[in-house]
Amino acid sequence: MDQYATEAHERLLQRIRIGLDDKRLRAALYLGTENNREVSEKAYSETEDSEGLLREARRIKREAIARLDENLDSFIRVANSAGVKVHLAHDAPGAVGLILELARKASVKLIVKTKSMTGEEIDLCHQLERGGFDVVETDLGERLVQLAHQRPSHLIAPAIHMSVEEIARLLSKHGERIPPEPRRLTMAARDSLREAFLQADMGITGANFALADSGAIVLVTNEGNGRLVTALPRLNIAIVGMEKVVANVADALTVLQALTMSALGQKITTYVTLIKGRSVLANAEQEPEQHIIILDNGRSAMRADPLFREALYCLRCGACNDTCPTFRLFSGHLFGHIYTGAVGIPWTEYTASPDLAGDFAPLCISCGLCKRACPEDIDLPLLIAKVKERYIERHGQHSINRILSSYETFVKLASATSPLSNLLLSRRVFRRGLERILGIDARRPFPKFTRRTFKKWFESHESNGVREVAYFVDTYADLCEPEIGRAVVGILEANDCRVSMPNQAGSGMPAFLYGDVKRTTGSAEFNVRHLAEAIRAGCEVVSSEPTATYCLKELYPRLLGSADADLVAAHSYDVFEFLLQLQRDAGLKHLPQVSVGQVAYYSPCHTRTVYGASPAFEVMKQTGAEVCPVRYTTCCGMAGTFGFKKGLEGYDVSMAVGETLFERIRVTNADVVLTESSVCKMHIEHGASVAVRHPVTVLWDAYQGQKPLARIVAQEGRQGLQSHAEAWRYVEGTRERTSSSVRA
Amino acid sequence: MVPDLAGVREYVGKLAVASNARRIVVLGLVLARELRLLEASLKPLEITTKPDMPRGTFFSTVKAADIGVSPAELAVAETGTVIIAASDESERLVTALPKIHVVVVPRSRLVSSLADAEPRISRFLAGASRGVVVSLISGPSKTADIGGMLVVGVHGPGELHVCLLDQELREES
Repeated sequence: MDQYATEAHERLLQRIRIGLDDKRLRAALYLGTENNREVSEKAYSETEDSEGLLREARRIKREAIARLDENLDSFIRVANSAGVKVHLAHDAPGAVGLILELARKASVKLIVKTKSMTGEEIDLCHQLERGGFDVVETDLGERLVQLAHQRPSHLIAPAIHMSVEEIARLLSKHGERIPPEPRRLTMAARDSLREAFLQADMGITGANFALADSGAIVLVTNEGNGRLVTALPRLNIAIVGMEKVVANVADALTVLQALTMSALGQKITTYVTLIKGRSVLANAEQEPEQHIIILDNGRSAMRADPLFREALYCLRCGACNDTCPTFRLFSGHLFGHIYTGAVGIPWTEYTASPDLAGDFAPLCISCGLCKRACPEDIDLPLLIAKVKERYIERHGQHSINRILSSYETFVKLASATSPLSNLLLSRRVFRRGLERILGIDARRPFPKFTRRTFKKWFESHESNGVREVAYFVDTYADLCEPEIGRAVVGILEANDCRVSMPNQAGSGMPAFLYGDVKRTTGSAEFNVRHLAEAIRAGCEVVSSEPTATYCLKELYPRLLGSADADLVAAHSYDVFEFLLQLQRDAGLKHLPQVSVGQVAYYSPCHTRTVYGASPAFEVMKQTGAEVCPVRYTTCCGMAGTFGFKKGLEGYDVSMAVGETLFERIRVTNADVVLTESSVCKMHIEHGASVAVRHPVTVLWDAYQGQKPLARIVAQEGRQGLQSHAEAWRYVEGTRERTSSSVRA
Repeated sequence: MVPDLAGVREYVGKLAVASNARRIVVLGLVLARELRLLEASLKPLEITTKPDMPRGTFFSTVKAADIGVSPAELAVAETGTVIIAASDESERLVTALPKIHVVVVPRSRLVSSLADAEPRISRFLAGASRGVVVSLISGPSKTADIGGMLVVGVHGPGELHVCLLDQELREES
């Protein structure tokens, strides 16, 4: 690591420390983000053919970016003919210069502004203030941030980090004391902002869409400030990111619904305003004027990059912010530059600077949930890994990241040297040494390694059956808990499958987290080569580790872009998905009754990323087991090997992310938690002090006629579980929430 | 749901009493003529409309109005949206500045989804050689920027009332 990266790393740790200490911020963020996800997921589940809507929204944005040049030409031509002056700005200083010049020429004094990420991107408000103009932000949240001399902390909820008390103090500064009550505060803000609207001589907005066929721009808000900014002042300027142009109204309305559903769970926002040219002003003496500034500022470069092009599909809904485990701790102030959260990483890379992006990219722990939450299906984990990779190429890799990138090699060694390795890894002295020398947190327990690996067991195992299945075991079930692999094989054989083990390496995911994309690609090539061969010989591929399933089905095809990788993706299954598939094909001989009393179930982030609803949970339900799902709209926090890293770099953050999940698990009083992921297992066992099992082992016990879990869950546990379900259905009830507007 | 214009008058009258409104600004002569009948019974209620006065004066009455009443081009059932097109900002402000906004739209103009409304929206945009604003309005102005609590009426109307009219609403030319 060079000097720059070392210093950047220190700065990051410093900020993590501040973030972790700020319990109030965490509570405010948690409520806001969890609620946004809950209402959004609910809205999608209640919408008829929401998959169809998303498919359309994706097609439209992809097409719009592909045809950007012609769409832009058309937009400019039609808008010009409606009396609008359209300008192209190459970069931020260019756009700011244009706006300053227009304001000076019109002798502007007071400017009212709607919130606009594009405006934030070019630091417009400050630049105008520096130029001597009075600027009033009119979106309520943005106004609060402006009054507090801060910057927005979330893509759609800029003041999500502020408490009501803080806001009351802020708004009471220049006048009478307003009580900390949202309604009173909002009305006070209404009165003062109304004055500004009526006096302003210039209005600035962004745009959520620009329409190629009609030359109109579209503003999406809930507050209605956008209407007043565009109706009242004589001079209007819209600053529009180049990627915002779509073909027509129909396209805009479709994408709009995906945007509002993902952002706030709304079918539509209160106001959607389509503005073509300038209408006659209410004040008869004034002649209206409108300028539209189309901003490039790195977007052309993004579009030219075959991988990063997809970042341009971003709708600014903020769903990737809300679902992100680390964003929820730190807010966009720490996790972001201008653009926040996951999508903020590629956007910062291109619109600000690659170093700025790389500085906060380590906060992404590759749980993959942002990809699932993204209405446009942007492969954010992949883009972020590339940003990390480029950063490493410029500045070198952190030593602990290099070590953990080689995690798969390390655990092989630990397995080969077990039980000695287990003894050492459980010794405090040894662990303190590991922490000092390697940077692996001494508090984090290692799993027990075994020499009797699954692969060794399988070598002498003879499998019989009709259907051909290739098992992809991954490292944990091979080296630490071969019982998982044996359960998978047992269940498959009980359903007439013949199981084989093609040549295979670990998934390669640990390296991906630290930006070692080349190493992951190497694993991908190796695994795909051998699995494709097996598939061509008639096999379906089954895995029991969610991260492996995620790699086989989603990551490998993106990394390799080969026909073989697509073939593997199409023929790979999570073991429970495979059982459900067998059931549909009438090939499932039987599912035993599982009577385990009540247990809790947690769906790992990679399962949710790939499937949404968990196939494991579906199967367990069918066996009659009373399994209580523990809902959590983010990741448990360990995301691969991240939770192994020392202190603020990993362990502390992972424990803070998991805090709420552990609490939710604890109040179930369940003695056993089921989850498929080995990483979640390690983290939950450590954090919630509860036994965790892979559901496949429980199912296999039932196949064998054993009921080992029945005795564990006591009667008190049942009662606890009921109150748990009530207590955590929502954290603080189902308060109706909405945010004020969707940012342009 | 109201059967006729007299029903609209009755509704707006009740609203004016309940909200203690003094000034109502109305778009459309037919609506204005009907609502003006309220002035006699609800003194000192003032009903004004655009053709009554010079532009500058009309703007002042819009700013001072407690209730704005306007027709709409379309209503969308699925999203609860009314669609209003205007080439004159003083008209748009009737729907934006007062604390209460009443929309009157004939039932014949109710469509089921945004997709059904799209051709009309496109025509408004294409038809305007200079400026036009098409507004899709689906409720009161609202925010949750303070403490995540929903508050209505932050910049625009805190109440939106839609009268679905059982008759047509034709302006005499």
